[in-house]
Amino acid sequence: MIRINKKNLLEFITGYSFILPGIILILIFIAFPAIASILLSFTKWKGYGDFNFVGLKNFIKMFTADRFFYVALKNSIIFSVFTTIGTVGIGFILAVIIDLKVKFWKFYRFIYFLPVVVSVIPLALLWVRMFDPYGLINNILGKMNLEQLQRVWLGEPDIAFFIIIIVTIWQYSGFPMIFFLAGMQNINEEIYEAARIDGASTIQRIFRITVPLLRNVFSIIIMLQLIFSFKVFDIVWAMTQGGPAGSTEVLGTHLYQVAFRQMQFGYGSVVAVIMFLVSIIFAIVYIRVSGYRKTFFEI
Amino acid sequence: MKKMNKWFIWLVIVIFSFSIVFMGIGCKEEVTPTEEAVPTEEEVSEEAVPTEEPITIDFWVIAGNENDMWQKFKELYEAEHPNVTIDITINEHQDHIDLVPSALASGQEKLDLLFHWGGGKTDEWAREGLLLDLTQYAEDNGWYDQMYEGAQDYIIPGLGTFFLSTDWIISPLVYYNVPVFEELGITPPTTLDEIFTVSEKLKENGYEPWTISGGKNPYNLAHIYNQLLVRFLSKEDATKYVMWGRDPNKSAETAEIFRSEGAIKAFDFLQKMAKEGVFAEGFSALDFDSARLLFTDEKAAMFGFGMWEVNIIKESNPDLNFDYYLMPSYDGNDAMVASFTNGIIVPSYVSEEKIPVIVDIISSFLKKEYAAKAYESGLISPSKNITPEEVSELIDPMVARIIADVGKYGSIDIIDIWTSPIRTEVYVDAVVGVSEGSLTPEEAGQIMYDTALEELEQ
Repeated sequence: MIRINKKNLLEFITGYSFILPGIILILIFIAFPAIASILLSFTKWKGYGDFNFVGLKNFIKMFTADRFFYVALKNSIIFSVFTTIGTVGIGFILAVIIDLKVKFWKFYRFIYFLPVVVSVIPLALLWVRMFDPYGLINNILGKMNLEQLQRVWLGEPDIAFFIIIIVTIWQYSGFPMIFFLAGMQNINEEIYEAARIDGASTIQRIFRITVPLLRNVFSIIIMLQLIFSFKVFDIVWAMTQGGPAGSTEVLGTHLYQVAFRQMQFGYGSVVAVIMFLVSIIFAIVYIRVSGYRKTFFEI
Repeated sequence: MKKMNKWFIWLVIVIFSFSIVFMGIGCKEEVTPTEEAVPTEEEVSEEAVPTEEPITIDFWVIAGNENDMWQKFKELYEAEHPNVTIDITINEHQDHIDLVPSALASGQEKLDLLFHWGGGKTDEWAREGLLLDLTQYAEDNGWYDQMYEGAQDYIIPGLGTFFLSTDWIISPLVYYNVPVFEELGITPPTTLDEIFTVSEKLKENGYEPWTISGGKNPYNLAHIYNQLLVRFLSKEDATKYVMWGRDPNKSAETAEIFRSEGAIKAFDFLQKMAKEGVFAEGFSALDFDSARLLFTDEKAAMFGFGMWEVNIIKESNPDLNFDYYLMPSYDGNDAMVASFTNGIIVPSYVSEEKIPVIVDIISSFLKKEYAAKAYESGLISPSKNITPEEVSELIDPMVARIIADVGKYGSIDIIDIWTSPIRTEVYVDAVVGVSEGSLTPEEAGQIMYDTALEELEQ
């Protein structure tokens, strides 16, 4: 504990002054809305007019009378687990390939990362058109004489959700790829050289050297992906708006429906609170299970 | 040097911190509704005349025929009133639904007049004081004397006039591809049951029967359900269903209409239509435009929605030979839901200097040359100062036939289903859920009933 005295007071004030604007912004745009949201969850409010305190009624309604809540919760969990496995897995494979410095590796690195930086909505709408019953995918299948595979991709409850997951994996695999690439740069080449001399194959080097040494990167990326994907809204809304038959409803879209369509901001805040709590649980459980302790750049 | 660096750093910190503070101070001043939202009789007894000072009226409309009508109106009005500029902002249908509540509640500055659907939550907004009370202006300017009777259904009992109807719509009509029907030797169905045989014949010959937008734009389905309601309920009960929110004696008992036998039957029929493939495959994934495209591309033989689609279909495919039939009857009941549902509302926070201009705009809209603009745009004006016959050369021949077919203006009103946001959304959710098979008709009726009870508790 640093003692504040006349000597270091100026330094103390200077230090905190640098971080003060950031703290103010966090308070205004993150902390205050979060606290307001929690308080709002105990009220009935239409977005205008009076706040009516209703205690735990909104929470009771959610757990007992909301036919979409459990579907949305289940879908959010499935979505976050599958997209995390997909993006991290494919991102790692892409990083390994690019790290081999194949021909045009810089171009591949750019092209695989490009979808990450493009806005979700135009991409999602593009995929909607491609998966349209009369869109590109079905057209290609028709031309390949594979009419039996043609589907109403986003109109069938069993398929629509996994289409969205696949599109999400496609868009965000570049994100973990960049992190893995950065991590791989820090691995000493001599370790691989020694393993090669000892007769280790490429696969063995990847799983016995690369993966263990990137353990911390895996930890961070998996946790981030789980949390980011759990609160998904944009891509689901753009592609299906939670349909067909609620099969793609996630907590994000459910929140939007109740808060902004039904003008039940109090009840919508309950959904937000649940999302926040589940994200926290994800993070805590994962940190404990993975034994993550070290910072990102310590290998 | 070290000291100077420290001072420089302090200066940067102070300037940065102050800039954040000034950002907060510079935010828009909260605009609160003026206390005297209702003008006194004295204030409005003088004829409302626009100011001679240049004035801009910010007007939100939705894309499509409405925008077309208002752009024509704007041209005419600005030519007659050079000091007035009407700035029209166009929103897509769903965007308008999403933006308006926040805009009204926040006291959005650049909003003086806006399009909205009759009922459509305006009751609730009026009760919350978000809308300008137009009652006195309506009385003093004799608006209702110049409008068809049906338009008066929009006066909120016990509150007054907050919404003014500007055009009349009919839905749903079912448009059909004439050559396809002739080729297959089928005629438009005259009863609800015939819809299934017609659809079966179309499917056998490789056509999607009835293309319709699903959950993405659920109002298409909701309009069909409205029409089914008035066939499976008596006219009296159908009116009770749609007017429930306006009933001063509404109770849990009267809410039973939502899960009545007729309402459940209507849900059941809608579900049957979906299950037996009357609607195009994958309709749940279609939005308005995709649904219409299937029809204009001649992949689907039927397309159901409102009369405003006539112009849109013709523009999409000028060579398409299509006609329409009205929703068929059931058990001899062929009632039609037709209403003056499009209109305008005025935010309560609009500045007082703009009110005379807004009142004049509304009064002008009922005049003959202005009302004609509605007909030009494929809509129907509620103004009695003009009749469809007088503007027959402006009206599309198909629209003219539709008007003649429906005949009566403003029969059963559907607006009240949408008087509360929660009931509106729950209603369309229930309709979509039934059509997609995720809800049974009984569950849908129960959900509507439960939502009505929730409303009673508020």
